[in-house]
Amino acid sequence: MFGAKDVDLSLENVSCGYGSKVILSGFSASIPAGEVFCLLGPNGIGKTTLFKSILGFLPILKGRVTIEGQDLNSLARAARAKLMGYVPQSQFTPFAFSVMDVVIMGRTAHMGLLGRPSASDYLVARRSLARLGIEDLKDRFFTELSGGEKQMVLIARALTQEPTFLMMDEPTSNLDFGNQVKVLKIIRDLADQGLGVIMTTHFPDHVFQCGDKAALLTPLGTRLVGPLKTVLTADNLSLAYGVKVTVLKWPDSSLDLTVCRPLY
Amino acid sequence: MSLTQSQPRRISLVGGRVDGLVLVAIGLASLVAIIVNLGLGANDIPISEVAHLAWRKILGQEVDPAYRRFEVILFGVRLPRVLLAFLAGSALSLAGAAYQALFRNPMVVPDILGVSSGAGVGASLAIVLGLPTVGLHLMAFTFGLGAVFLVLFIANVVGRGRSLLVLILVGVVVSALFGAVGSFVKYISADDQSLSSMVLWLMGGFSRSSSLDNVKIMALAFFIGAIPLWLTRWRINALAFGEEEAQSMGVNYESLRLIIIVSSTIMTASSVALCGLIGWVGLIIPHLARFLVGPSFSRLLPATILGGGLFMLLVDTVVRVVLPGETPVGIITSILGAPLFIIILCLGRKTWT
Repeated sequence: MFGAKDVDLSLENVSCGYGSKVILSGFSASIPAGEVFCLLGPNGIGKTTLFKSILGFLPILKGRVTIEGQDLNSLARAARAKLMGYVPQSQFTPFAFSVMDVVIMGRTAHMGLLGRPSASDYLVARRSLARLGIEDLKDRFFTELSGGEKQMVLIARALTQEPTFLMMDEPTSNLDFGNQVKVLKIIRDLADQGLGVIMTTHFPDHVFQCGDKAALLTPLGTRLVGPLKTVLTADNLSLAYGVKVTVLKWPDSSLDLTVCRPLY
Repeated sequence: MSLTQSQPRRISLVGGRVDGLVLVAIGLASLVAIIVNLGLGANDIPISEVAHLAWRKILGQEVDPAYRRFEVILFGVRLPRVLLAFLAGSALSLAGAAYQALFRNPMVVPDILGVSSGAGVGASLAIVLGLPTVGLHLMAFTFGLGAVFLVLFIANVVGRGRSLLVLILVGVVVSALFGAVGSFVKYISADDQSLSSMVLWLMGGFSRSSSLDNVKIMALAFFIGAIPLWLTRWRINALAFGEEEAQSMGVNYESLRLIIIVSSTIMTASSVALCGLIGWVGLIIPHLARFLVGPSFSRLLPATILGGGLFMLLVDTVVRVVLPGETPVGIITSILGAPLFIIILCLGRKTWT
């Protein structure tokens, strides 16, 4: 579907922070399109700062972020938007836009400097809605949707940008249990279709449900980056979050299931 | 939160065709209002005569000497005034709509960055200095622009230009400062004559600037402001979810913000310079327009331009025809605007949360 094979997003020795205040330094990772990369760590450890720096909302203090060797900071906003879509955590707008109005915003980068959306832009928008199975929301008011529906619409908007990578900020944080599962399944499907997904989350269980790789930031300043089974171990999670946890794996190979549970 | 969530949902069905029809209807209503308005006044000219004279003028034909008196009233007096009122209403409404999109707040008015209080100081100074009308217009326009650039400069120093909240706060501070300076100028003005001119000027009106030259200036300023907003109308939509999301969708946020602020300031400053302070239009008309055609700026822009013009024409009709003398426009906009606004809020009450 995305045809973006063998494309990597690379974080090379990235330092980020606010102004002269460095929050996180020397972070490296390589994220191939087609995988789900999860960013975990306790509050205040620099997850969001790193996330915003990758998106270009904050300047990168040292190091660089590249896609196919191209430094993202050297790209114009529109060029960057064609490579990287963003699904935010907040879902607020004061104006009663229709869902189609919102989804077509995803075509902004493709419209040209003074352009307007064309028929083919609307086609892309409708395809995004169809991929998520929410075509019937098309004419509803965004402001009147439920939290779960809003989340789906914002994912559709990001897909409409036709990016190679999708940045998702705590994609399950405002959702009920059913919608969490739905969104995690969509994330998995999108990655299987070739999209690279980078998400922050507070739930190791959600990573076990849809993730390929994880980065765990710990209060000791260590960053563990790699496959889930080496990064999200009971010891590492206990260390990172300061609570005792266990990680349980389904005993035989009939089910690929891993869960994380606190021990009291 | 409750204030910003009070946006009335629109009445029309979502869909391009319905919105298009609404726009055509507002356009036709505007045209009819302009023609009717030209006929109204101290000397009522029948609509048929208005149409006849206009048609002759368009064809470039000589007007029958019997109608020469009408011709002067129509084209020398009423047409400039009607056009000036329409353009001022359009400019203020569009500036309001653009600011509301930028600040993501339906309660924002075109004056929020200090343009009106700046222009007020400029005008008061011009009156104290005894400058001719052109000087007054120039002073008002320059000070209006100057106040906004001062806000941009201070906000840039204080908040490194990043935060809209800083921009609004600095706007409030600078408005207050210019308001005080304006009051001081009034206080030190030597005679009652200039004091009353200042007060009257600030209340707004169209008769003082109803010349074709002024209409040309207002039209120029309007297009200088409206064309960039038209060209960026789809990008402006992407501001609805805030700066970061707009950036992630490919919008160059800093330059778009500057385009909106400069365009709106030029439109508002020229309107204030020529017609004085006219409140409410920039708040109510965007509300009403969103109610009719929805918040998408591609439809909102024509709807606010036509709606603002139409509303201003209506107000000027009251001033010119219904009331004796020349009541300041600013008073009538508020008297008509306040209940209208409450009606809009009532219609949208369902979505108050």
